[in-house]
Amino acid sequence: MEDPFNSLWKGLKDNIEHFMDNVSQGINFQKYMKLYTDVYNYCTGATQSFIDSKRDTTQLIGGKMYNELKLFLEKRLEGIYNNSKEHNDENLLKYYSDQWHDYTMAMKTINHIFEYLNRNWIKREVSEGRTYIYDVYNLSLIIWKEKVFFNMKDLLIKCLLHLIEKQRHGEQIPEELVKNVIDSYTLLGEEKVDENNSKNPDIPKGVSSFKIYEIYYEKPFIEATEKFYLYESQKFINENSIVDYMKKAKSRLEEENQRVDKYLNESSRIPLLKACKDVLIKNHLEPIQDEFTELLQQDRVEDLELLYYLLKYIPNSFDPLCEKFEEYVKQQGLASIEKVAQNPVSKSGSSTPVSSKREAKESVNPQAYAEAILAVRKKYIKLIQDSFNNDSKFVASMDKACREFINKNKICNQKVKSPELLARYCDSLLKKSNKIAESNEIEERLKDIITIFQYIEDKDVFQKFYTKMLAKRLVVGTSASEDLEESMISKLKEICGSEYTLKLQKMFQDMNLSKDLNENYSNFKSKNDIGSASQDFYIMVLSTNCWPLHPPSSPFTFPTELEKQIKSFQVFYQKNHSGRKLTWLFNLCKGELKTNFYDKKYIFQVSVYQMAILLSYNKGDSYTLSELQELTGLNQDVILGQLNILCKAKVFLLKSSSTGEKTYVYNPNFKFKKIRVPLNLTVRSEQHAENEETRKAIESDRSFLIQAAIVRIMKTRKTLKHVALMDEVISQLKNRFKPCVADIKKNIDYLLDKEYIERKEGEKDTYNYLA
Amino acid sequence: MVQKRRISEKLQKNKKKRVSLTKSIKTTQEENETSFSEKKCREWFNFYCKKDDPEEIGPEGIERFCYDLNIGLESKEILIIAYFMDAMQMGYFEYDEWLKGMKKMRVDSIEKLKQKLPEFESYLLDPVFFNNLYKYAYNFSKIDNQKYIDLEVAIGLWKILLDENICPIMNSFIEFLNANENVKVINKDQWSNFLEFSNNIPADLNTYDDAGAWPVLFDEYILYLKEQQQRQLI
Repeated sequence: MEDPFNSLWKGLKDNIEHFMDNVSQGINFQKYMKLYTDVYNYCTGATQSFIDSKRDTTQLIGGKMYNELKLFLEKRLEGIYNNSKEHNDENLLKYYSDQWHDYTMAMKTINHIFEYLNRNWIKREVSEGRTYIYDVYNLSLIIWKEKVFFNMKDLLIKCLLHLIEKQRHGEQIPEELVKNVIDSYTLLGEEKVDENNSKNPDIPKGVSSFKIYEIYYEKPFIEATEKFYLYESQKFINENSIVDYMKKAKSRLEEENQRVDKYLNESSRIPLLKACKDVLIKNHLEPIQDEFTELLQQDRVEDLELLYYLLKYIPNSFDPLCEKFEEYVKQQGLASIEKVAQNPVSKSGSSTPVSSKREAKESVNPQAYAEAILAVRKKYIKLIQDSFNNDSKFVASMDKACREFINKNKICNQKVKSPELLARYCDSLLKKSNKIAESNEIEERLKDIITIFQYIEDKDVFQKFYTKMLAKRLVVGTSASEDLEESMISKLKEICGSEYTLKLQKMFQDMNLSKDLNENYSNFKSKNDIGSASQDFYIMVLSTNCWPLHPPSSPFTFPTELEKQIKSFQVFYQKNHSGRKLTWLFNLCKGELKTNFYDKKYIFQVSVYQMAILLSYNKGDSYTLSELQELTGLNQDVILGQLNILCKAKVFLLKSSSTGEKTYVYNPNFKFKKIRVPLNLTVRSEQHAENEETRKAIESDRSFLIQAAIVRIMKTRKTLKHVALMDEVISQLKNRFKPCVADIKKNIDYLLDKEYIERKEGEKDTYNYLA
Repeated sequence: MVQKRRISEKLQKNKKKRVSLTKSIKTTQEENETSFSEKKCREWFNFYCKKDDPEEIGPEGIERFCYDLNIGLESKEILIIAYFMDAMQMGYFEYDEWLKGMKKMRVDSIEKLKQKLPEFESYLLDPVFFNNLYKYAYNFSKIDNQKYIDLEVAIGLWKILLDENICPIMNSFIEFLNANENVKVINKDQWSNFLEFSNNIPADLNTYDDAGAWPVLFDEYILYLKEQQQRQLI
């Protein structure tokens, strides 16, 4: 008697086989239901004769069917493999792909047909730990893997790689086909490592399973890729320029990236690109890096961007470039400054009667200097933005370069240093005489100055000169705008802290106090009936500590015409502020005189010294030098400076008396194109001496600051090594200036000498603080 | 300004705390046997003391003393004698200093002291003794309240105390000092570090670290040496 299972199975098998042969036609619903029911009936034991009398009814049924199905699939796939031998190359792939497609499609449906088997017998077997039992769909994949894939894998990869290489050479290939085949690798999933494949050198050691895709596709693919590019890149770089090579490399990288999108597993993106970068870039790193300076020199922004794009994948590959960049920017800065040093820009024609030609000799124009620095900086900031993606490493290199060339350059090696020039540039912007109408523009330029200022090491020098010039602007009344002045000071404060700008702010306070003071004084005058109708009088009272002003170097007998004003003010002031000492800075006083003796009524704008000289000529037309000295009380240097200006302006004519002494004679034919005659000019030698003095003051201030820092540090540390002390002093002072090692040592010597500190007994390079 | 004032106050405060640097020297068996008479010592002192001040020997007395001992006025011997006395100031011996020193040496007459002189050379070989003597020499030569010794005095002392064996750079250093117009005095720090410095000059001057802890004067000396070497190369 025929086993009822056999007949059932035969029907099932025939139908399945028919379906598998004609997957594209599908299976109709009734047939599907019939097959499903057959499986159900078998598994539930509804087919009586299936029951083995000895069998426990609670036992699930299915083993037999499972085995038959397995055998059936194995046999079928052996056939598929055998037929594959008739194909090769692309056709083979096509055959494989088609078979795979039909097989998996069919198996999805068949899996449903056997759903009852899956859900009961198989599930139970799996849960009881039989790892060799799979659900029907997975079983089908495993059989495919064994019967088809493992037999064909070597041929498959060969064909795939062949196609991909063709594509790399620019040929069209059926990408869809490639994708389908590769997808089958992914779908085949993992494979356990057992004795059969543990000897395979491709499989990583020590793992219990591996992915079919990784081992049988990705690994050989990447190896082939490396080989391909190793050859290609070497050939290309030999035959083309580096820039062309970089372009090629970039397009290759993009192409490979797209390859992943087109037909590879996403997980291959990183290893594939890494392999490409290694071969295409890392292998040729040096020639690419060597190209950098030349690209900089030729301002090839786009090529530099390309270079950055390529190298950013290679760790640490920017380090040598940053060094080169720093050096290059530094050289650019130095060259640009050198140009300024070689072409001193003379100032435009002066509108004073005494035009000083010497001014043209002024070695450096501060504005040109600042602009030269800024131009270089701006250019490379833009380059970093455009080409280097604002990379902080390059920004740091540029900052370093700027610091170098701003603090040490051709101009700075002379007596005048960067900070002094910057301060002078500020002065020229903040003075009324600046030729810029828009305060916005001045504000912009002040911001530019601050940009440079941040690089300046000797911030104390800037402070000194800035204070000096601010004092002058305020005293002489040439400051263009209080708003601008304040904005500059707040900018400095932001960078250096409030201590840095304390004195500057105090100076503004004094100016405001003086305003009130003058009001009170004129009230006082009118009350006490002191006023003199023909005289205006304005006075500034400034605190000695905050203003870098010096008392006059020469004695002075003020003219009797001023005596009343001066004395009454003194009385007024001492009444309100007894105990304060007033020092008259006649050297800074100025005034205006109306003339009555020429054909035009001029207004002479003069210093008080000149005023004293000129007022003498109300009583006579000619005085000798010694007579004038006696009348004014001024010493010879000072009076000669003033008289020279008056002679140059042709207010006086210089003659020799009978005794050969210099005699100054009133010139009745004096003429000037305007009513106001500016005569209160700075005597150049004085200006020079003043700058010289400022520079010297900086030196002594620094010694003081260094000593203070040493004492401060030693006071808290009590005992400190020489090297540590030096480091701390430098770091404490770095916001002000960069102290040189020899200067710190000199001051250590000084403090040792003064017994603020001592050398520790037996350790000459350690100091103790002496309280 | 504040700083300067503080420093000068400090100067006042630190008025000479003179520390005795002398350490008694081991006396030999022989010396123990010779008897020491304080009375003889006083008489001996009286021979040299000032006419107007019996408690002090002045420069003239010391000149005579040296003559009698047959030693130079600027000699190691007189310096060592002063060191034993712990004499405060060059050119003057007080009686208590005299007594202290002679007692230490166990001598109470010119003859005994003369016999002692040949031993002095061996004292100098003891590094502790030598270092103490070297330190003492600075304070001894300093005029009270002054912080420095004049360059000439310092050079004189170095010539007495040192020779090319102890300090190979001595002559070259003195040449440097004489050539340098800015150096007019030697301070304590420079004096006390000089010996150690002289033994620590690297053979290759370029490896000298001028940021190190040596006084600036020594840095300048190295610079001077370098310049000299360069000149020789040309």
